[in-house]
Order: sequence, then C-alpha cells, then structure tokens
Amino acid sequence: MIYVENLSKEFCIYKRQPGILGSLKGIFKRDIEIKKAIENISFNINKGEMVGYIGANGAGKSTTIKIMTGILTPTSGKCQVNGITPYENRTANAQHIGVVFGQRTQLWWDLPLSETFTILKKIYNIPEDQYNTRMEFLSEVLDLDSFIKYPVRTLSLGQRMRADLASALIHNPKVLFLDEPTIGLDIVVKEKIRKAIKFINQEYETTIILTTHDLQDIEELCDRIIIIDSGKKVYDGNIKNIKKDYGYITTIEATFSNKNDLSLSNLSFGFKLDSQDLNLNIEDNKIIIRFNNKKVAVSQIIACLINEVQIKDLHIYEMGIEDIIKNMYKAGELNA
Amino acid sequence: MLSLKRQCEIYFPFSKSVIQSNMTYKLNFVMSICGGLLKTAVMYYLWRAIYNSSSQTALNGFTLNDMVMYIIISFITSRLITNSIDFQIAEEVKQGSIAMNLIKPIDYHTKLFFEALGKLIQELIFFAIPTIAFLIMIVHTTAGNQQISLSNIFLYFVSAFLSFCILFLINISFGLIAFYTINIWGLTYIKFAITRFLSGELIPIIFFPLWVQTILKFMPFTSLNYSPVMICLGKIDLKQSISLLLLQIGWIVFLFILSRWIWNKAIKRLTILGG
Amino acid sequence: MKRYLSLYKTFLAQYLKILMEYRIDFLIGLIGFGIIQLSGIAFLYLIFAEIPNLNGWSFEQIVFIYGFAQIPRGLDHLITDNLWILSKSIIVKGQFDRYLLRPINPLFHLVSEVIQFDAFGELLVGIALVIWSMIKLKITVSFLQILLFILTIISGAVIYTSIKLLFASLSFWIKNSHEILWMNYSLSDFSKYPLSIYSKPIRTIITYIIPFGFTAFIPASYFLNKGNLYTCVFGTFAAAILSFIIAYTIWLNGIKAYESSGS
Ligand SMILES: Nc1ncnc2c1ncn2[C@@H]1O[C@H](COP(=O)(O)OP(=O)(O)OP(=O)(O)O)[C@@H](O)[C@H]1O
Ligand SMILES: [Mg+2]
Repeated sequence: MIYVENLSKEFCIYKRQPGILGSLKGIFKRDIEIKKAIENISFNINKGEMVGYIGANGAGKSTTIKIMTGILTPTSGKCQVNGITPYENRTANAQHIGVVFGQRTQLWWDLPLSETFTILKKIYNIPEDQYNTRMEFLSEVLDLDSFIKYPVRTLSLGQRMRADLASALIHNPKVLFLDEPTIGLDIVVKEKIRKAIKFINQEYETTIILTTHDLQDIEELCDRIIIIDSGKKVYDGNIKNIKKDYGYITTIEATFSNKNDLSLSNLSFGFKLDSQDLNLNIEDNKIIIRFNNKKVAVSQIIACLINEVQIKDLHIYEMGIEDIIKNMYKAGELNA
Repeated sequence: MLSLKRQCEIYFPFSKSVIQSNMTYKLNFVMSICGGLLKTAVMYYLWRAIYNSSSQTALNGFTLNDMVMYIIISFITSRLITNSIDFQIAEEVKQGSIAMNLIKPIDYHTKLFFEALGKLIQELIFFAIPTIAFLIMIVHTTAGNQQISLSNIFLYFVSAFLSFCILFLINISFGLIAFYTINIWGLTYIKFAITRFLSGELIPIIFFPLWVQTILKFMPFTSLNYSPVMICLGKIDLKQSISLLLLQIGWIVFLFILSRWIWNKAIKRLTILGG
Repeated sequence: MKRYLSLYKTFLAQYLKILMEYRIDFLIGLIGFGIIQLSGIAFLYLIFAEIPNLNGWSFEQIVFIYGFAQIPRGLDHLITDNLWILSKSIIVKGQFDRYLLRPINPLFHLVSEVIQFDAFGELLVGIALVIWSMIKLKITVSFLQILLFILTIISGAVIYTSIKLLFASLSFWIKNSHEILWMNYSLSDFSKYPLSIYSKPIRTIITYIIPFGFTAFIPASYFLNKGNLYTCVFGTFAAAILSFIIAYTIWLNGIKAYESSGS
C-alpha cells in the first residue's frame, strides 16, 4: 500500500546576521545551511496495517508524512501510496487518503462544522447515501452532534481534533495519516479517538500511519512500529520486542499518608538488586521507585509497598520513547 | 513625574526594537519605497502632461518645477509621518492582548509613541535625509530658479515632526474604535483616503475651490502635509511659516486631549467587558 | 467544472450569511474603497478646472478610462484577495499544507476561501463613472460591443490576477513577497491615465512586461473610438491568456518548492 525507498529531504536555511550592520551585509552574502530532515528512509506498509511512526522531537516524522501526503517534494528517493507518487499526482492521491495534523486544523475556520462536511462531500464527490451513512457513523463514534452547528474557530481543542478526524474519514480513505492526533487532549477524548481509529482500521481495513509521543497510543493501536532518530530509521518491527529489550524500566510514584518519618533505610524490599535495577527516592511524602521490570514484577513491588506504607495515590509510568532510544544507543545497537 | 531624560531611557528601547525588526526585513523597506516612487512617478507624468496641455507656465503660482518638487516632498513627508499604530491597537484589541499592556508598569500611549518614533527615525536616516540631500544637490547643479534654503529645510523638519505627532494622535483615536467595530480595516481606509486628499498630498490645497479651502482652515488635515511641504518649498514667508507651526502645535494640544478622553472611555469599556 | 461551480456557490452562500451578520462593517469597507476612487475623480476635476484637455483627452474621456480601470481591478479584488495573505503569511507560517491535501485545485481552494465584498466599493464607483461618462460623451454601443466590453473586463481581471499570482508565488521561495507584490501592484496606477503621457520605457513596461496597460487604457480607448479592434480588444484577450499561463507555471513550480514549516 505504501512504499518508500531511500527517501531523503533537505531544507535550506538562510541564516540572518544580527544587528543592522549584519542585515546590510546579508544583502550581498547569505549563509546557507543545509539541514537534512530525513535520510535514506525505506519501508513498506501493507494494506490494513496500523503502524506507529515514532521518534524524538525533530526526528523527521512530520517531514516523512508530508512527503507521503504530497505536501513536500523529496530531495531524493521514491515514495508511492497506493501506486501513486503523491507529490507528482497530488489530487489523485488526495482522493484516497485522509490526513490529520494534530498541530493545525485543515478545516475552514469561519464556517460551521456542518457546512464543512457539505463542502467536503462536494470536494470528494461522495454519493448522497454513502455520505449519510458515513456521517451517521462518524457522529456516533466521535460524538460530533453536540458541536456540529458551531463555527470551527469556536471549537475546543478536543472537539476540533474530532472534527478534523471526521473530516479526514468522510470519504472512506484507503490510507489514513495521523500526525500527533492526540496531542494536548484529555484522557476521555484520547480514548474516544483511539477507539474510532481502531474501529475504522478493523471495519474498513484502512491502512493507518500514526505518529505520536504518547506510547499508550502506540500500545493500544499498533503492532508494528518504525522508529526514526535524527532523520534515520533505527528500528522497524514488533512493538513487544522492543519494549522487552529496551523499555524495561518502570517507574512507580506513590503518595503515602504515614505520620511517622519514612526513610530509605527502613524500607527494605528484600530484593537483591543493584541500583541499576532498583532505585528508590523519597520526596516529602512521595516515594519514587524505578525498577527493571525484567528482574522484578510490578505486582511484587506494589505488594511490598503496601506492607510498609499506607498508600493514598499511585501512578505507574512506562518508559518514554526518548528513553527507549537512549537505551538502544547504550546497548550499542545503534551507532551514535 | 520622571524627568524627560529618564523617560527616554525607559522608552527608547521600544524605538530601537522597531528599527531593528524593520531592518531585518530590509527588502520590504526598499520595496515599499520603490512602490511609493512608482506612484510618485505616475503623478509626475500626469503633471507634466497637465502643464503641456495648459497655455500658462504656472498654475495657481506653481510652475512644473515647483509641482515636481511639491509631489516629491509630499511623498517624503507622508512616508515620514505615517505609522500603523491604529492597526497595531486594533490587532491587540482583537487578540485581547491589550489588557496585558495595561498591567505593565509603562504608559501605553508613551510606548506607542516611541514605537512610532522608531519608524520615524528609520525613515529619516535611511530615506528622508539621503533623498533630500540628493534633491538639494540636483537643484543646485541644474541651477533652476528655485532654491531650497537650509533654514527652510530646518523649519521643514520641525514642521514634519509636528505633523507626525498630529497623525499619531489621530491614529490612536482611530485604533481605539476597534473596540466598537471589527472592520477597522475599512475605517482606516476611509481615514487614509480622506487625509490623503484633504492634506494636500495629491494636489496643493490652493487648487481647491475657495469655500473648501475655508472649511479646511478649521480642520487638522492641512497641518499634516500641506504646511510642511509649503514651508520646505519656500512658498511662504517666515512669519507665515511660524504661524503654521503654531497652528500645528494647537492641533496637537487639542488632539492630545481628545485622544486621552477617548482612551479613558475605551478603557472603561475594556474593564467592563473584561477584555 | 460543475463541481467547482457548485462548490463556489456553497462558499458564496456562506459568505453572504457572514456578510449579513456584519452589515455595518461591510458598509464601512465599501465606503472606504469608494471614497478613495472618488478622491481620484475629485483630483481630475480640480485639474480640469485649469486646462481644457489633457494631451487631447477630454474630462469625460479621462473619467471613462478611470472608471473602466476600476472594474477589472474590483473584480479581481472581489475574488482573489487571499493571494495577498498568501504572499504575506500563509507560506511563512506553513499554512499552505491544507491546500495540498484535498483533491481539488489548490489555487481554487485558496482563492475560494475569501470573497472580499469591500471590492464592491471599486466596482460600483467604476460602473457609475463609466455609465456617466458614456452618457456625457453620447457613446452608443451595439450588442456586440457590450460583449466585447465584458470580454475586456474579464481579461483585465485575469491580468490583475496573473500579476498578483506571479508575485505572490515568489513567496514559495522567499517566504514573504508581500512588499514585492505591493510594489508591482502599484504599477497599476499607470493604467488609469492615457499611456501617451508617459515616457517610452514606462509605456513599454506597462504594456509588455507588467501588462497593466491592458487592464484599462488600451481596451478603454477602443470604446472611445481611439483604437482599433485588433490591438485593443484581442490584444487584451491575448495578454490575459499569456500572463495567466506564465503566472500559473510559476505557481506550479512554487508548489514543488514549497517547504512547509517545522512545526
Ligand atoms: N520547513 C522547514 N524548514 C526548515 N527546516 C525544517 C522544516 N521542516 C522541518 N524542518 C527540520 O527538519 C527536522 C525534522 O522535522 P519534523 O517536523 O519532521 O520533526 P518531527 O519528527 O515531526 O518532530 P516533532 O515531534 O517535534 O513534531 C527538524 O530538525 C526541523 O527543524
Ligand atoms: Mg511533527
């Protein structure tokens, strides 16, 4: 479905000199810096797959998506979506893809949302009956009815994101590109959006590429992930493996209400682990435990904790993508 | 009351930052001058054709040479005095950031004034002074019958500065209308059209019918452009020049009080509406 | 084509709704653009108090040319005003992405987003001046000439659009081309008066390089019986087609060079 080979994109950045004198100098000579946003990226994605495309800030995720959607023309390399080269045949490509950029809406700012859908119906040439069933389906999964009459500019971030997702799906696209579709959303809306994405993927066999900084999204949605770092692909494969291999540090944060002073010394977990694999920290009445979940299970830690203190509040954090990449470097898998 | 020097120390950075940010986009500055020059060129050719079509060498006391000088100085003056403070205020009102300016321990009017001053200084250094110097050179080498005396030039700059203050105060009052309508664009366009015509930027006021000239005596428009330009060209004697300058100062006092009054009303509205 | 028309109708309906909401603001904008055109006429009126004719053109004839100039200008202003925003901020801020993501022509998508009703100020003043001067000059027009009039008006508007499109497209490379666009747009001032008053280089520029001459003086002189059909009317039509082809080619190349933005 999606076929990417040796894709590279370079940006030219013109540097400005500071001050008035510098800007005068800039008329005659400009410093150009070439910035390689992505370098030799290759992958294949099959029909119906849902792939997480992840990497740190500035890794080149959005750049890749922009090439696949036809916004950017690559410096070199090939890219085909459903047999079409997006940047050469933009409108043909646009007809069968759906795109959401979480950072920026693609809707008409001043028009009511309902009107937006009427316009999209015309743009994509959607037959009346298909449009109606589709609309019904989308307003149900994404709960659009409560704000469909309002102009887009008045929508909250969560409402706008749902509207954007609906607008990307109205024409039943074969491929869906989602660039940070859950950015800045609360748990409830995030959950709603994830459910919708999953449903679309299963029901219509829509191929989906998703970038995000929220590992939870990836875990709930994708079997396969592609990791890029500084513009280069560093991993492509199953998500479970990578978590097992590199994402083994779990953090537990617990707030307790014991009156007596708790100190590290009288907390003995009885695990024989060195500080690399188990690390305790106490701040006021909060205890932070970092541990290697390959060596000891979460449940064991919590069991011990309950014995020692009275817990008011408890959070469990998985490792973030940035740390996983760091661990990969540490393990020498990647050449830094 | 802070001393003037201290005030300048506080507010001058606003001027400086305006100059700096404008100069980062120096191409824009150059282009906008070129655009203005083109419009001036159209006027030049038009006047040339007008004088060619006329049997007289002077119309209302202006020869073609006088008229060419008139439109050039007029163009320089309008560049010197224009500022977009009205848009700036309107933009801040629209985005609600105007309230932020009221919290800060600086006077909003003064800050805006110094920002406009920054643009004035930039226009002076990079456009007006070089252009006028060039003009003087040309006039002297071609040895036409008309001379631009240095004392006139000096009085011109004084008068242009007063014009700048007048337009600044008008613009402040206009910008505050943004509290009442969203199409400030249309309004400023009306203001632009009216001031351009009635200030004598397009055509010397003396070409107007007498009754219009009489009405204009009671309005600030001629103080914006006609006065400084006539002073510069030496079309009026020293005594008249001084009285024009005094008239300009009178308008400044009046408009200052008016703008403060509008400002106070607008602020009340702001605090009631809650930004 | 049908799809585009129907889309545009939908947009138009929406904008009319918004317009009705902000009636006063619309009126203000209309008056603003009207006044600025009228001040130009007042200027001409004052001048003609001093001279019998301008280079052989009477006041009414000059008013006809002046009024004619407003119509293509207003038409273009009404429909393609978003090109100004393109040159100023859409590309700098990376907001052009959205126009590339729908299966419709990006230029249509961009332009259909703004319908600038203020332009009626120019259009109404222009039409009024043309009619007034035609009555004064006792010009009678045949049905064919009305068709030719419409053809030249539309061609003139296309020339305006092309020039705007070309310079706005430069922002794909230089990010902000607003001032360059403004400078070139200023050249349109030249077309409001008889070209014969200008020196040769300016006439050449205004006819062959930035062809604003074809948006007013050249076609208008045909209707004043001062020019022949071929150069004035068909020349205008050819100039419109040629400039649009050039501008659109540059626009297409600009899209290829578009860099979006980092965030
Ligand atoms: N239009 C542009 N001009 C110049 N540089 C750019 C442009 N767009 C992206 N870049 C650079 O390319 C690199 C990759 O950017 P990209 O937006 O693809 O990152 P990303 O992985 O999406 O990051 P994030 O997680 O922050 O969204 C960055 O270093 C960025 O600075
Ligand atoms: Mg991104």
